[in-house]
Amino acid sequence: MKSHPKKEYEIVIQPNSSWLYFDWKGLLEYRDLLVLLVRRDFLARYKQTLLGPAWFILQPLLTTVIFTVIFGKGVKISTEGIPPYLFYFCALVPWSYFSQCLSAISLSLTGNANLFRKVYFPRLIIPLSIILSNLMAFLLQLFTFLGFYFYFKFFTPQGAQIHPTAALFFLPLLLLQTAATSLGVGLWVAALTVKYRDFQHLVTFAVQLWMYLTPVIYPASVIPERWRFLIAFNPMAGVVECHRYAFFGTGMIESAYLSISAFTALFFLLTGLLIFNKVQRTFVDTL
Amino acid sequence: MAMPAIEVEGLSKLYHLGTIGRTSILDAFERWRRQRLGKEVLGKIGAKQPGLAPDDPQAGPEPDTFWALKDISFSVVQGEVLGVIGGNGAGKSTLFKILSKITEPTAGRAVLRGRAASLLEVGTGFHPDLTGRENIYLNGAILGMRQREIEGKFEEIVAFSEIKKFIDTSVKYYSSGMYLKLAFAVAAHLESHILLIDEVLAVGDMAFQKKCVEKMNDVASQGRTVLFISHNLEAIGSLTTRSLVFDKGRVVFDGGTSIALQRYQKLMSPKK
Ligand SMILES: Nc1ncnc2c1ncn2[C@@H]1O[C@H](COP(=O)(O)OP(=O)(O)OP(=O)(O)O)[C@@H](O)[C@H]1O
Ligand SMILES: [Mg+2]
Repeated sequence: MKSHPKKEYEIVIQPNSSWLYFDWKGLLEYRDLLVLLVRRDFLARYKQTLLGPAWFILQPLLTTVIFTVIFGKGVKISTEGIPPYLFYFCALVPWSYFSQCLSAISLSLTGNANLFRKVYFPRLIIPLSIILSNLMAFLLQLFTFLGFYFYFKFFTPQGAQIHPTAALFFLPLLLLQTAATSLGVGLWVAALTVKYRDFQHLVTFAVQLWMYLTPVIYPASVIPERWRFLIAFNPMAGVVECHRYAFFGTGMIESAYLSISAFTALFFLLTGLLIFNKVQRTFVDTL
Repeated sequence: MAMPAIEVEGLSKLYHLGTIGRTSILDAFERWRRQRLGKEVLGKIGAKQPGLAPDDPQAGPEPDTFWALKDISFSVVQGEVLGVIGGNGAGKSTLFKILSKITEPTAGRAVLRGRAASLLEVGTGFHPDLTGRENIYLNGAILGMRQREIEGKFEEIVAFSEIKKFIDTSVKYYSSGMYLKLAFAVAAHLESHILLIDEVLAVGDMAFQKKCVEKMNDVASQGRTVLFISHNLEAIGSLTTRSLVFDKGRVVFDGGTSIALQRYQKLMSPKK
């Protein structure tokens, strides 16, 4: 008899009732696709641009300049004694990673509709590839920030006033929290967008609003004490504030708040995965 | 006797008529408001109920639903090449979408034994800005190939596609035929036990089409199981010995291809 296909290849297709069934094995089988998609994102994004990957660095730099002019020179919000450009840049590094991932993931189901209608692969691969391919931009921005940081610390007289702290070792955890939040919230929005296109338009606006609710252009310390507990439920507030604390030794760091924000991030991630997993089974029907 | 490569039992798929999914929250609110207003008012507003006659055999349980597939059962033994024919909208592509996990069935069950690959369209996931080479890798991975597998077959794929000269050019500069040739070449080199092909042979110039049919014959002779949708009755006749005829979401005939073709022609001939 001909070599019979191995048992592991038996695929059973039926209406799935359990919310909790998750195809981990399929995800693993397509890991090569994940790698290639990350590469594609990277290659395709800057293929016909003059500056290429330099855009990764220019984007936050330009934002920093704008913020410095408007909020540093104009409105004059406290930056806790840190030069405004460093203060903003430090927060913008995790924030732009977050906002880029969130917007891209939110649009990932509707944006790839033609692909999803014609071929099956674990749908989660696309959001995951976004998380990974934006990592490159994040690292480039972090290194640019470090350049400015070292310049200020060692080559200017005021440099002696800022002190990096041991929280630097937690930067990878902060990155993880950022990725989890953007993935979780992004999956929620992506799932909702399938049914209601309104969310597609709302998300750009919501991300903007979210930024102003996060201590990016102001320190958490300017929030009235009464309301400060609220930012514990914004995982990005913890990330941004911690980032600054790690590099400058300033900011409001409270372990209770940080644990709440980590749990909130985890909550977003798990519920996002659940709803996305549910929606992905039949979403092509309505896409 | 080995277990069949594909077993389908009572597979059904319910679709919504109308424009669900393109709705906005406002539409949803409007619908909810209308429901509250009650039926007489609803009639006055002229809410159009897209619809099927209630006696339509495809009508679903709710007013704006219908069965694109209803209670499909069949099985295919390993190595068999099965033709699937039927009029437009009969449900052929829907069956393939379910078998390839693109969407879930509403009821029923299917078992595929072996690694399955499906081709509902060639060139899915090609990125216009990437070169032919980069797209071969990407497309292969989208279709479920491992990277090492693609590497091993790369030369063969390029040779089959006949576009060696342009392999490092962005595919957006390809002619549409070249694009399809490259896409089909990737798909033709999928290693799988089960292959589902939906109407993708009609690509390229005449010489290339012939090559595609030969490749299909090749695939069939390797003992792989193939399900093959086509409106090209000649191709169905030469490649398959057994066929399913679909009509209005049901299998109306399952048997020898020559009889299936007659049955299909009778279905298609205008009724008096
Ligand atoms: N996502 C969807 N929502 C609603 N109806 C759908 C959807 N997809 C397919 N249909 C309907 O299901 C029916 C079957 O479609 P299908 O694509 O399976 O036909 P087909 O047999 O492949 O036809 P053709 O020969 O034209 O390719 C059609 O009436 C189609 O309008
Ligand atoms: Mg079709």
